[in-house]
Amino acid sequence: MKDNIEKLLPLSAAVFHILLSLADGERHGYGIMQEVKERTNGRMHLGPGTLYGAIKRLIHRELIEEVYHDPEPGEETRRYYRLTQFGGRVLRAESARLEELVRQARMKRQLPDIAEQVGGQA
Amino acid sequence: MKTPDPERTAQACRTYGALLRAYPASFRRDYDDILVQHFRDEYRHALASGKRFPLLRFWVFILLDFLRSLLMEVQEEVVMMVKKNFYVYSAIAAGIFSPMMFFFRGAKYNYIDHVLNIPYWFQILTHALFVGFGALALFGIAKATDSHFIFQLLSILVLISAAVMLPTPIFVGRGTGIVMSELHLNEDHVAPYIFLGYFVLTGIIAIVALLKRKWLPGVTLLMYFLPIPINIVGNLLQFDFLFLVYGQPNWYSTLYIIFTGIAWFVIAWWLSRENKVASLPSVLEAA
Repeated sequence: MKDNIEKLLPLSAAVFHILLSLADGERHGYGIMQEVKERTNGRMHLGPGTLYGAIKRLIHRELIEEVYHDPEPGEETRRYYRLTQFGGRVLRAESARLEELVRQARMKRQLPDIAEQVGGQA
Repeated sequence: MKTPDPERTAQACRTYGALLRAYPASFRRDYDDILVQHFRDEYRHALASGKRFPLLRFWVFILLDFLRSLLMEVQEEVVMMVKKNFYVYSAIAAGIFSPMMFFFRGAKYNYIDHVLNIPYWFQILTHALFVGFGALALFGIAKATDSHFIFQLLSILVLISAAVMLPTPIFVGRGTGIVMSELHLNEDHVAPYIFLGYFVLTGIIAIVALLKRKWLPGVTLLMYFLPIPINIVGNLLQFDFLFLVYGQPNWYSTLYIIFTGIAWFVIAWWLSRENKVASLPSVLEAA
């Protein structure tokens, strides 16, 4: 059943990272875990129980879906997952929410201004 | 860097597989194989990582993840189960409070009271909880069937009466209440009317439930009246051990009450497990 997007927000960090890892294509569970780990420099390491628990809930809410892949010869069968359209909308809504938070933090000078950052790097 | 020994990898997978048995069955059914596959990949990766104490780090990580996710899955399963069978669990709760009610009603006069010194408000509390849960069971059915207005009306009535009943013994004490004392009534005057009110309400709802073929709440509520025929028969035959209402000080009645409670709990549990809560005859046929 598709819930209202607002009702699903805010997403937990694990769920957000799982959705984000599927934003650029299908992945299997281990692939999701690796991508999240690499992207967060090892700060977020999803264990199997946490990962598949979250995947189960995401499938139930129709944010992601399972896709079938014929395994290559000599390869293990794996379950792949991809974002649904609804999942994509939820991910964008959550990203916008986080962006707004960052914008507000920046206004209160709790984060360096982007212009300053660019200047500093130059 | 270590190359994982296939035998040790298989052993580790078996150990993890044994841990997975703690997860709820629905989760295991869908993800058992994939969890072990993921575990195997992680295990190989951990061994090949070249870090110090790779196995120790790996197992600590896996165990923490297991415990965290186990709590989450079990909690989700329980919440879902209660939501799905809301009225079944209410009926079971009513079934549990029903024998307790008999037990404590007689306590004022019998041997149990000398041992436990059960306060009077506790007797009323068990009544209120029994009727409250019975009403919740009916309300759940009313919601599920959405056509039985009479169920909704009656269950709301009983819920209100149970809600009024509950704070009286808790805040005022000994079940009488300030208004009653203003009217110079004591609990011995008032209690029979309160119980009579419950008898009437419970009777109406039980009959309606049975007429609507809602067997589980119907039979649960009928338990309220069980001591009456038993008592009448007991009086007629002058069997001491059959005295239940305003009980005689004997252990037969206590044993009978405990037996009834356990039996009802088992029946309700079995009904819910078999998904045949709405139709007792079909369960009997199946048996």
